[in-house]
This record gives sequence, structure tokens and C-alpha cells, in this order.
Amino acid sequence: MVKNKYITALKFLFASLRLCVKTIAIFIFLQIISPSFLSAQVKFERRVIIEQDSFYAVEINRATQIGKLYIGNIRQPIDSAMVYALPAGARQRNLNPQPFAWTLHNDSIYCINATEYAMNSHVNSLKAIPLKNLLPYDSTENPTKLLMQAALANCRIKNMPLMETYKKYTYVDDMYYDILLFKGAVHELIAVKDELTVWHYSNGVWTSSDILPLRFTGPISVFALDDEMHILNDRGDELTYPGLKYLLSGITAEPTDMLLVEDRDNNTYAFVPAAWFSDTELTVKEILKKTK
Amino acid sequence: MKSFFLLLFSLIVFGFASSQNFEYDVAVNSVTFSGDNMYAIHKDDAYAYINNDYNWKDDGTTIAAAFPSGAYIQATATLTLTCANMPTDIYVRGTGPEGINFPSQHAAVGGSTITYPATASVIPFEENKVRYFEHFTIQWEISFDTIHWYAAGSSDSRVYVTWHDAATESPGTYGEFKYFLSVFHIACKNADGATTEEEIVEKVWSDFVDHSVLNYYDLPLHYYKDIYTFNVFLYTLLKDRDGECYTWAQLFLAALKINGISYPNNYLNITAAYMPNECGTPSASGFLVKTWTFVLPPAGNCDFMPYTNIWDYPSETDTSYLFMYEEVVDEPGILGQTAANPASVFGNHQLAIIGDKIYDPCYGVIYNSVDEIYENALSGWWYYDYGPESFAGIDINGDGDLDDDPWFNIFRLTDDVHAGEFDIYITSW
Repeated sequence: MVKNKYITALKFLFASLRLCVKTIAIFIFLQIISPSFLSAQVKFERRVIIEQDSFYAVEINRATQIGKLYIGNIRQPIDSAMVYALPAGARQRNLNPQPFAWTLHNDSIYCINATEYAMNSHVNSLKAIPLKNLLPYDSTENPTKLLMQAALANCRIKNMPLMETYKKYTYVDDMYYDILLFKGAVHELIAVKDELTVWHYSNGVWTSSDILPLRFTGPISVFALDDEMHILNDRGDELTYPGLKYLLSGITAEPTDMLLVEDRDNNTYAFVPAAWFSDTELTVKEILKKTK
Repeated sequence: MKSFFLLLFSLIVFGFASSQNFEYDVAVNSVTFSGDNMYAIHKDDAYAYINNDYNWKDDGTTIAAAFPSGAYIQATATLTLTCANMPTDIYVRGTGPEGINFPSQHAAVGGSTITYPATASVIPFEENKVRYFEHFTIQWEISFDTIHWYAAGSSDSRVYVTWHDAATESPGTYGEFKYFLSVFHIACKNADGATTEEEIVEKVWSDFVDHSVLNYYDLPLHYYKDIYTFNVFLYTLLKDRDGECYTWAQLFLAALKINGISYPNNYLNITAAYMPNECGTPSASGFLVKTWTFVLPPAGNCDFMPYTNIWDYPSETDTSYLFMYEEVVDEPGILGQTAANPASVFGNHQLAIIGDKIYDPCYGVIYNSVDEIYENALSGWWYYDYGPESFAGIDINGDGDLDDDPWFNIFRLTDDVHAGEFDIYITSW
């Protein structure tokens, strides 16, 4: 009887070991072959936009500075999204993070190119890039062509707000900005030294707001909801503009670790931990369910 | 008499025995440094740390170590003694440079292997002094009684000593400032012996003035070896040995930061300001760094930017620009790092600020103000246009008319160094 017990225990042990070895083998196999594993490090920049059941998100290649635009169905795994090379991007700043400032409007991506490249000038940093012009992302491609395009192309609207801001504030360690298409007009919000300026572009002219006091020590983000402009600072304060009325943002974690999900189909928004999007086998729908 | 001969015999035998050290088959095999303040050094690529399993091996391989001044260096050593009757009590000691010695310790014996335990040097590195020991040579000895010592060979590896504790590393994989091997090399080799901040800045800067900055492996670092390099992070300059202005300003600042010298607002960016003009809106604009020679009279139709070059396709080789029509010729001018005629068409530039001076490590030049850059470094200004012959106002294909329709990449130029101006902004690196 005792002997049988030992035999049973040994059988169980060996079965467990086999299962364990099998699991490890499958895991190693998946690590080697699975694109989802390779893309598990995906970290999107600043926001995810949902429009007509598609999601749009941007990842920055930290080595090349170039952006990758993901476009996929919200009901299918993030892995299945098409990935396009964006002739714009950002670099990691040494002292303070400045997430890539981008938005979507009328089948074009609007963004502020913050790559570092010898041909760049601030005046050409505001980009309006038609989605139909984008090419699939090729990780083997030398990024020089895209960096050149980021410097010289898609810059019909001159980024005078950035030019003016650099002129006014020479020391810009704590400068942050974001971009928004609000009521059809490009808006650029720039915050420096607890001073916020809202710029908007209309009929070929840039106009600036008065300087607004806004406390922040990190990136700001802006989005539109119910015909109102909402501003979020790194402290988790959510304000409406004009007026800078404070709302409850519902952010309980570090805002810099969150992504703003703008669901334009349902006219809602949510703040979602950016890390949740690292599981690229999930759908955006499934990720958003976690917030409820 | 008998006693005398016995004594003489004993002396001969003892003397012979005590000269047996040359016959002890003992040799040091490896040495590993450690210490509370020893730096973890990155390879020149941002990702990995250099292997610190050992710093010297008897197969000739060496790995550098780095410490702040005032720190004690610890050493561990393994030696091999071939002996028929291996003694149980063996002592080991090491004599390093400048009195940085490693005291006698009772060594662990296992088979023929003797292990000198991790032991701090008897004195620390001199306080507040940069040092570069190209050969940190330690003469190792063994003893069986701590009285008679026998040579056991020497180890020899490179040791860097920084002036003060290095500034904290930047976070993230691609954070710009990390404790890179070649940054220690450039910082400590050049500033060897310096004891003040001013002296360190001057000595480190001197390495940039001769346009030949060498890395740990004595290989040159380049400024635009590839005319379209996209390297803008410090680690890319070190990894690929080629980089844009960003990386060179960062390298100079990093060599100071590794010595503990770091101030905010030390990173100057200059970019071409917006240039509206009567010849249409340029798609991009910027400045020409010396020397561009304006060899032909201007034939274009823009008074503001009277000279014209037409870009060829492709528009460059790895080392030079290509034009199908040129009134302005790019020639060697200001020397860049390991480059007689580096890239010179720019929209922006980066420099370092130390005190009230502006350092341009790409070219090894110091400016007292941004204004000096216009006169001393520029040949003129440029902007891009795109259009047919008629738009350029030049018979590009030389067929006697201006009605050819293919559009050209038009490079409009002026030799007026004050035609444009810099926007400047300053950040902390």
C-alpha cells in the first residue's frame, strides 16, 4: 500500500515535470516565433483614438525616434493592426519626458515632429499627414529617409506658436505641448513655467490666448468632448477651456503612466494604464472593459 | 672545525634553499577589482555592462575599472602554484602603483589554486584628483611565512579615477547620459592629474581642439563620416563612431559629468528662424557652415536668395553633396572631428555652455557669444524650393529656354551671413 502511494506520487511528480517542461518549451517556442511576443513591449504615446470602430495609436521607436501608427479594428487583437511608418516622431528627452503630440482629423494625422535631426527647424515641425500617404512600417529600413521627410515634408502650416514660445522662453527644460483639432481648427497648447497659452489657427493666421496660470511639472494633454476643450496636467487635474474650470479626472495613478482613450464613436473618454496595452493579444474593446 | 664545516654546509644548503623562489612554479592567473564606489561601466552601446568577472587575465585580456577619487580599490587574485607538497599556509600580497598596495593576506588554497581574498588597498586614490592609469600594474608575491616573499608575476589593466562622484545616470534604455566606457576614457585620460574644475574643463576640451577624439580602443570618433548619419544619441556616437552635432555636444558634457561637473542650462540649441521672403514660402531653411564658395554670378530670380544650386538625384554620396547645377561650391573649411569637410547644410546646431563660454565640440571651437557664430562659422543661408525651370529662372538643362517642365529641387542661397537669424533655446543635459 505504502509502495503504491510512492509509485502514485512518483507518477504524479513525473507527470508534473513533463507538463512543466512542455509549458516551458511552448513558452520558449512562442518567444521565438510569436510576433505578439516581439511586440509585447509596445507602449503607445499619449492617446488612443477610436473612430468608426477602428483604433489609432502611435508608438515611437526609441532608437530611431520615428513613429509607428497602428490602425486596427477595436474588436480584434492589437497584434492584428496594420502598422505604418510615420514621417514624424519624437526623442526621449534627458530631463523631462515629452510624449509625442498627435491627433487625428479627417483622415489625416496632425502632429508635432520633435525628432532631432540636422535639417529640422521648429517652423516646419507641425505636420498634417494624410493617412493615405503612409507606407507600411519596415523595421529594416534606414530611418534617414523618414527623418528627412519629418524635417522637410507635410508642413503647410508653419508652427509659429513654437517659434514664438522659444523666442519668449529661452530656458525650456519644462516646456510641454499638445495638439488638437477643435471645431475644425488646429489648436496648439503650450505650457512653460506654469504658464499656459492656447494657440489656434484660422484663415491662415495664428492667434494666441492670454497667458493662463496652470500648475504642472510634466506633460499636458488636451482633448475635445461635448464641444468643450479639456486639458489634463501631470498632476491629474482636468480642466475645461475657456475658463479653466476644474473637473474630476478620475485618474488615480501617475498621469504619465496613463493613456487617454478618446472614443469618438460614443463621445466618451477614459484614462487607461498604458501598460494594459502591452498585452497585444487583447482587443481594445477588452482593454476598455477593464476600466468598468 | 667540524662545527665550522657543518655551519658552512648548512649555510650553503639554506642559501640554496632560500633561492628556490625562482624554481617555484607560481603565477598570477586573474585579478578582479571591486569596491563600494566602483562604477558599473556600460559598453559603448547603452544596453550592456562590461563584463566584470575579472579585470586582468593571464591570457592577456584586460577590462577597465573606474572609481571616484578618494575610493579604496579592492582586488581579488587567483594564482597557481605547482608544488608536490602543497603548503596549507600561503600568503599573498600585491604592490601597486604610487603606493596603492594590497596587504598580505592569508590565501585560500584549493589544489594548486591560491585565492587572494577581496582586499582593499592600503591607501585610497588621491582625493579630488583625476587619474588615468593606463597600466595599473600590480606585482604579486607569495610567501609561506610572511618573511620571505617570492615573485608571482604581475597583472596589468586600465583604471580610471574621476574627480568627484559622477553625476547620476539618466533613466531608461536610451537615456543619454550613462557611464559609458569611452566617456571614462576621454574624461580621465585627458584630465589626468587635474585637481580643479577649471583644469578638468580645459584638459578635456583640449582633446576636441585637435579634431581627433579617440575612444577606449584608440579608434577615432567621427562627425558626419556618413553625410546623412541619423545618430543623435550619445550612445550612437560611441557605438557607430559617427554622429551629428547633438552627440558631440553631449560627449563633451558627458566627459565633464563623469567627473561630477554638471550644471543646468548647459545645452544650447540654435535653429534657423523663420525666413519669409519675396520669392515664395520656403519649405525649409537653414544655414551653410564654412566653406561654401560663391563661384558663379547669380543667375536666379530671387533677390533675397540670389544664388542657385539644383540638387542632383541622388543628392549626395556618403561624403559630399551632389548638384546638377551649381553656382556655389562646397569646399573644405572649418575642420570637423576627424573630417576635413563634414556636412555643412544645416537647419540647427547644438553646442555646450560652460560658464560664460559656448563650446562647439563638433569643430573644436569656443565662442564668446552666439553673435560670433555668424561671422566665424557661416558661409551663408539657404532655403529649399521645388519647381520647374521657369520657377528657378535658370536654364538648367542648357537648351536655351526656361520652359522645361520637370520639377527640380532648387537650393536658393545667399552669402549674406546675416540674411537669416538663429532662434536659440537652452536646456539642461
